[in-house]
Amino acid sequence: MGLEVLNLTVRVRDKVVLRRVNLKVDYGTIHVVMGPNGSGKSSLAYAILGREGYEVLEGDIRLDGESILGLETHERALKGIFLSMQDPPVVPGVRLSTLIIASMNKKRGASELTRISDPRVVKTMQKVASDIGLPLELLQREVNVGFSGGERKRGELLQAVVLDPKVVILDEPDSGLDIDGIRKVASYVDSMRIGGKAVVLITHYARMLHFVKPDVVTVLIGGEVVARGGPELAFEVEELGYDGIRRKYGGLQSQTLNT
Amino acid sequence: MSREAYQRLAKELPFQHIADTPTVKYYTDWRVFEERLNLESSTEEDRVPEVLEHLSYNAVLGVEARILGEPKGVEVRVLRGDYDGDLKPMSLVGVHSRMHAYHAYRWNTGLLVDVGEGAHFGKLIVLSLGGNAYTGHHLILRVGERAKGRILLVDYAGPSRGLKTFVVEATVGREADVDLDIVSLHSRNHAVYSLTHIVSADESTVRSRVLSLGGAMSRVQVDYVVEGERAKLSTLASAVARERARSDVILNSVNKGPESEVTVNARGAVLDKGYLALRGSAIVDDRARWASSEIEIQVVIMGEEAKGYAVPVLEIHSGDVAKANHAAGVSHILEEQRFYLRSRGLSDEDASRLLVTGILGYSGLIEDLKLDPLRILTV
Repeated sequence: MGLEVLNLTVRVRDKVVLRRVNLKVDYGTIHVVMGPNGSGKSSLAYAILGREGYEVLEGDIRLDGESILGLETHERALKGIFLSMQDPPVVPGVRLSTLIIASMNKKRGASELTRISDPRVVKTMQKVASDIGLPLELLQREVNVGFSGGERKRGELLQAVVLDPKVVILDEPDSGLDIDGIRKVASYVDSMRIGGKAVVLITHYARMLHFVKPDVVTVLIGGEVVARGGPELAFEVEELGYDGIRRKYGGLQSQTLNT
Repeated sequence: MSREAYQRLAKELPFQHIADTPTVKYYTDWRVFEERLNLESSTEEDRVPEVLEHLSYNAVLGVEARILGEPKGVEVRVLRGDYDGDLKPMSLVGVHSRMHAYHAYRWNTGLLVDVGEGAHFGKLIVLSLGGNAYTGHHLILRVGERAKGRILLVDYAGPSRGLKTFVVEATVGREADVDLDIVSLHSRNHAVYSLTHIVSADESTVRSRVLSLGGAMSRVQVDYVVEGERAKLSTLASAVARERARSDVILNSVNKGPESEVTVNARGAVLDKGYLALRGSAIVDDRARWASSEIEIQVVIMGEEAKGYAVPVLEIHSGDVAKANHAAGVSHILEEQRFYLRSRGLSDEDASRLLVTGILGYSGLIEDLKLDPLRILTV
């Protein structure tokens, strides 16, 4: 079991951004979604989380076999789906540590929103922050206010680890990071898989895949799945480019790629 | 100047000499004050609200002044209108506007606090309570050279349709090291004019925090005059206006001392149909060579009908400046921020609560004073 996207067509305002997309991510696997800019990768992530304005025209999204289409975004998150955003916004007034504590409290059904219900959360937060190279003082700063691009990414990864979701969607977690940072993110992604999570890794490039081996790679172009395969597909993308992939696999329809 | 002279000036002087901007005539709605100027003096003072009950006050200003205890090295006395000591009432602030003159003419309860030279006085807490009509409080605070400790001024105005003026004139001596915190909690019906004026001497350090919750009309102004050479001032402020509250919170600074350093950071939230102007002028005087001044203000608008302004002004009169920055932002809660918080498992109600309590907590006072942010909002 895990996350399933079934024949999903999504419209944003008057534009269809995803067409009959199928995707299956089992627990303990990494499913890489690749595609050029504007191919619908982030739209897929937003649709899974039920972002306002992303209207599902047909299809379904299921978690452990149950449709989550009728759930609000925060309910989907509480079910265990986490999205690390590509460009997370600033949230003035709210400290990063407070956000993590509040999210954790909601997940555990604690009555208080911001009071620390379990001191171990703070310890884990500090340990992971140190390990991923996020300065500890940033935990006490307002979410993403004055953070560099790399610090934002690390802040997202920190939440993904500490909140311990069932499904982790990482939208370009490698952008803005140097090679050591990419290697570190890759090692966390791998440990998420080992820990039994279903991981959706959205990326432009195959560079991160030199450090973490995906189970399935899906290429999305123009809102449609054009290719699906094993890790070798990512390197084919690197070699042929998206135009080459489109020419080679363009005839395939997403319905036939229901891996 | 006699009280009669102040009374005359209270009729002659304008509330404000110039409009704040060409588009917004005044950030303070002076009409709310004007229609209450004829209130009698309060006969009953407000009860201390539950949220502030746990603090250990050294002195209380209400219908009369009460001294409850003096920290070591501190002398607290009742201040009378005819006080003729070194620092006379209004001598630091001056009388430039109708509300200055009105306060000078009408204030009826005051305290004089002297912190001795070199005193390590721990903590001093003064509470000012509003009343059922007009309440005027005046506090003179002198911190001696090399003194060290924390001063907390709590300005509370209760539920009656009253008017309160509260003026604090403070001097901080050479090499003194002081935390000066101001908590202004004003309930919905009260109008409050609060002015704190602090002059700090050579190599002194003042860390100030301000927490303000607006009432019917709250004008909360803090003027930091960094007079001394290498004197330092830092301010963190949180301000919230909820329901139909109107707040004009002003954090002004003037660097006068060479190599003096000022930073002012403020956060505001406006809810419901509230109104909040969060502003400040950071002035670097021509004598303040190689001084630095930074001011940053962010206001988040969270109510459909709420109005918010963030107005920092930087004025440099010195040819040599070490650092000078100003930044401001007024933002509505964007869909992107809402989605982000929702994606962390927070409902819209949770997200609003988190944002408001976060902004209330920005100055750090909520945490330090163990104030319950949600109960503060119900004041």
